[in-house]
Parts: sequence; structure tokens; C-alpha cells
Amino acid sequence: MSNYLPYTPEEFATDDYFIHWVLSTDLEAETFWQNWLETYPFKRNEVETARQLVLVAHQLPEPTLPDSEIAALKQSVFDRIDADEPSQTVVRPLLSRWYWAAAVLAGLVSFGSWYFMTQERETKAEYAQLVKQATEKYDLVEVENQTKPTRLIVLPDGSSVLLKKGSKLSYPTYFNRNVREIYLTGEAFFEIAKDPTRPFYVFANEIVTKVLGTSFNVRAFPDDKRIQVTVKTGKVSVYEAKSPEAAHQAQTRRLEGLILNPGQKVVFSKEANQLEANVVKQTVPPVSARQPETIQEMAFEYDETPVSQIFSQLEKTYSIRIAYDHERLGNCPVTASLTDEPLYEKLKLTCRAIRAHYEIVNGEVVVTGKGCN
Amino acid sequence: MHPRTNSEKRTEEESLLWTALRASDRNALGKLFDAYVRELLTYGYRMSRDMALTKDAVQDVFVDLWAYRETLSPTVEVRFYLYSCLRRTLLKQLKNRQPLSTDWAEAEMNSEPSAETQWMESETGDQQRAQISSGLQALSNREYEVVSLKYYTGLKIRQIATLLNLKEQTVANTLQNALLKLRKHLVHLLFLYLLF
Repeated sequence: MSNYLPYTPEEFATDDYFIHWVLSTDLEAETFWQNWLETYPFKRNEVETARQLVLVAHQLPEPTLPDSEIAALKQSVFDRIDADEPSQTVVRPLLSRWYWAAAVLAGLVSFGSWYFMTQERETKAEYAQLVKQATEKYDLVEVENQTKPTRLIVLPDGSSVLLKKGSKLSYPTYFNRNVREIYLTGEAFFEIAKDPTRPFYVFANEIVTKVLGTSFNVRAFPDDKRIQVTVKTGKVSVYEAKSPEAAHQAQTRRLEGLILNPGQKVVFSKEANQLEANVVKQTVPPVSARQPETIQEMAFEYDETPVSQIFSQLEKTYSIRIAYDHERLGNCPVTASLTDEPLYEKLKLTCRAIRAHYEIVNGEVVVTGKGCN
Repeated sequence: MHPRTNSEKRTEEESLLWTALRASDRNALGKLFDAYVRELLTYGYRMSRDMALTKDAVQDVFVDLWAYRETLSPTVEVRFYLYSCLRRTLLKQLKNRQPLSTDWAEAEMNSEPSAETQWMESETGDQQRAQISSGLQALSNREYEVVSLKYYTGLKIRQIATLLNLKEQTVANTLQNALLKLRKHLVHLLFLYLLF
């Protein structure tokens, strides 16, 4: 203990155990240094100076990058790695063996509760099974929303997902060069970052939704008798996971099969022995004129709109908090068309319009800028 | 003298990841990326004062890590290894773009306070940081880098010396000088900390 006695503040400040004490909350170090100070109270000033030195040196300015940019950086690392290597992605047939078994069973047993129970159990297994298969080729993250009305998830490519209550989503920590694949059970609203060279697939129970950049809603709870896909903007194609089309779809960058346009909805009914697709045209107006309540119906079109209004709409819609200087920035006018953009794109474009920038600090969006007067 | 248990645990995990990476496990690369990307970006940014350049360099480091995974040494201090890769990459890039920031790339550098102040003020626009920077102005680039490595990365003096291609004693002296300079500004800085 006494070997610290001749130390100058600079020597304290470069001692690893001293630094450890200052920067951590380690109880052992705390006890040691408090005892030391009680034993050598005349060193208190040196120690305090050294402590401040460490704090100042530790707090050199550092950049804060939003998570989305870190994710984009990771994505581009893996893109470059993929580009350097011959593609190793194997297109797996999407239909699984039990599907045939289930289809055969369904054909034999006409009606009855037994059938429905089986169907239900099999359906529940579907998501788990898809995810299990996917872990062979991806490092997956699973997010579940059990409590909130919606939960915002930002995918590695910048796409945003609003996961509804009681739903689960699994996605890779980075997407590979050719394809973006994610797995859903339950309901979610998607805003997909545009990337025509890398189609985006949502696997939800029996159906696959394929998009190139757009926004849409998928509803496929295990206990639902019907699976729904509703399109808000852009185009998507929907097909059954077990259809012969599936393998073909997985290889093309075009949209084929059952194509949905904005406002259209497709319903797969599980009640029939075979899955049936019904395109219901214009069940939802693409962007509703009446007061919109959900994001599916909401427009993000602005004409000289004060930015405070835009921020409060984003806050409500995505259940996020945006901190900014209301006095300085609040009245800055923005003219932009953001309906078809994922959340981070919306934030980026809005901030660009008012010459501000944003970062994510502790899950909160912090916007800083000089104002526009 | 007093081991930090956290860092030990971390080292163990790291060597597992490292082994997995050498065996071509992509997820291991992803995990190393997650663990280190932020501190590498911070280090690169502090040294180059150029975020775009830093991001490119960090990207190169991980792409190369994968490209040469089979020839990587099995026993390596991962953090140290990544920092030295980044430093090398950054220096190369800085040399290529002549007029900007080359001062850092030169072996013996004198401080260029105006550039530093400008950087911090323009990038952060944050008064407190700008004020700290006025305290840091007194530091030469080398002192700034040593302080940054010592208090941010947790690298040992020995490693910092190897990284910067200096003698350990030189690093220790540089650090002492830097702290003496910082101390002169401490009164001023303390006042600011009380304000914010």
C-alpha cells in the first residue's frame, strides 16, 4: 500500500489500478483506495488531481454514430466479402417434408376437430422450423413483442419493422449479397429499404412475401385461420411456401406470381383443405383521406410542414422519442415525400431538409441543428 | 498487480472467436465486428479527424481479416491486433491523399492546434467539447494519440509502444508530458465540468 506514497498526480493517473478505480465501480478497488486515503490523508489533493486527469483524458471527444450506420458498415463488410468469394448461397427448396404429410392428411380427413388441432400444431411448428433451418446459414436475432402495441425494429439494411403485440421476428445480423430473408410469426408492418438487386423475403407460416422495396403488412398468427398480406406502397408478390413457384421465385430478381399493388390485400384461407388465395381489391384505400389511425393508412407527405409536426407524427407512429430544440428547429418547414421510406430514411431526409443531423442516444433520437432562420 | 476480471473473461471469449474465425466461421467475424467496431471508429476518428476515411479503413480491416483468416497467427491479442491493422490502414490512406492531415502520418509531429480546434468545433458543435479541445490544443498529435490509447482502449504501455513503433520509455515520457500539460488546464476544465 505504501508503494504509492511517493507518487505524483501524473504517476497516479497512469497507474492501471488507479485508472481502474476512477473509471469503474469495482467495490474492491473502491475499498482499497478509500483505505489508502484514510491512511495517507495528506495525499488527498494529489489523488483528487489525478482523478480529474483521468476523467478528462478518458473523455476526449468521440464520434457518435447511429446504430443504423454501424449496421450499414457491417453490411458492407459482408457485401465485400461475398463479392470476393464465389457465391455459397444454396437455394433450398422451401417446402418441408411435413407439408406433404399434412397435405395428404388433409386430403384424407374431411372435417373434424382432430384435423384442426393437428393443423394448428403443425402451423405453430412452422415458424420454429423455418428459423431452425435458417440458423444453418445465418446468425439470427430473434425479437419478440409481448407487451407493447407495436415494437420498432431496424434491420441491418435500414428497413424498419413495426412488430405487433404477440408476434416474433427472426432476422440475420447481416444480410448476404443476394437476398434478404426474415421470418415472422404474428403480425408486422414492414417498410423495406430499396435495393432491387437484393430482394426481400418475409416467411410467415405457409406464405412467402417477396418485395424489392416497399411497405406492407403481414398478418400470420399461428391460431389465425387466415393469413393476410396488405400492401401500402409499391408492389409485392405473394406465394405459398410449398408451391412449385417457390423455388423459382427464390432465384429471380423480378416479381412474379400473385402481384399485389397498393391498397390490395391477399388472404390465404387455411380452412379449406387446400390453401386458397383471394385477392381483395382496394379493401384499403392506398392512403386514406379520412383521419388515419394506423401506419398502414398513414401518409408521410409534407408541403412546407413545420418539422415539429413531422416529428410528432413519427413519434406517435413508431413509438419513439425524438429530442430536439423546439424553439430553434420546431418551425423549420419541410417539403418531402416520405411515405415509402423506412424510419431511418425518413429521419435522415427530414434532417437533411432542415440542415440538422440525428443520432440515437440511449434509444432516443436526438436531433441537432442550427435552425433555419 | 490487480487483474481486471472482466477483461480476462473477455480475452477468453475472444480467443474462442479468433479460433472460430481462423476456421472460416463468418459469425465469429460478425461478433468481433460488433465487439470492436465502435472503439475502432473512435480511435480512427480521433487520429484522422475524418469519419468517411475512418469508416473505409475500419471496413478494410475486417474485410482483410476475413481474406487472410487462414494465415492469421493462432495466438494474438485481438484488440492490439485490430488497432495495429487499423493504424496501418489509416496511415496508408492518409499518405495517399496528400495535402490533408498528412501531418499525423509523419513520424515526428508538432501539434497543429488550429486544425484540431476546427475539427472538434465543426464536428460536434458542442461547446463543452470545444472547450476541452482548447485544453487539448497544448498536446502534440503524438501526445494526443498516446493519451487516447491509454485511457480509451485499455492497451498496455508495452502494446502502445509496439503499436506506435516507439520505446516503452518514450511512451511513458510522452504520457507524463501530456498529463502535465493537461493538468495546467485542469482548473479551467473543472470549472466547465461543474457547469455541464
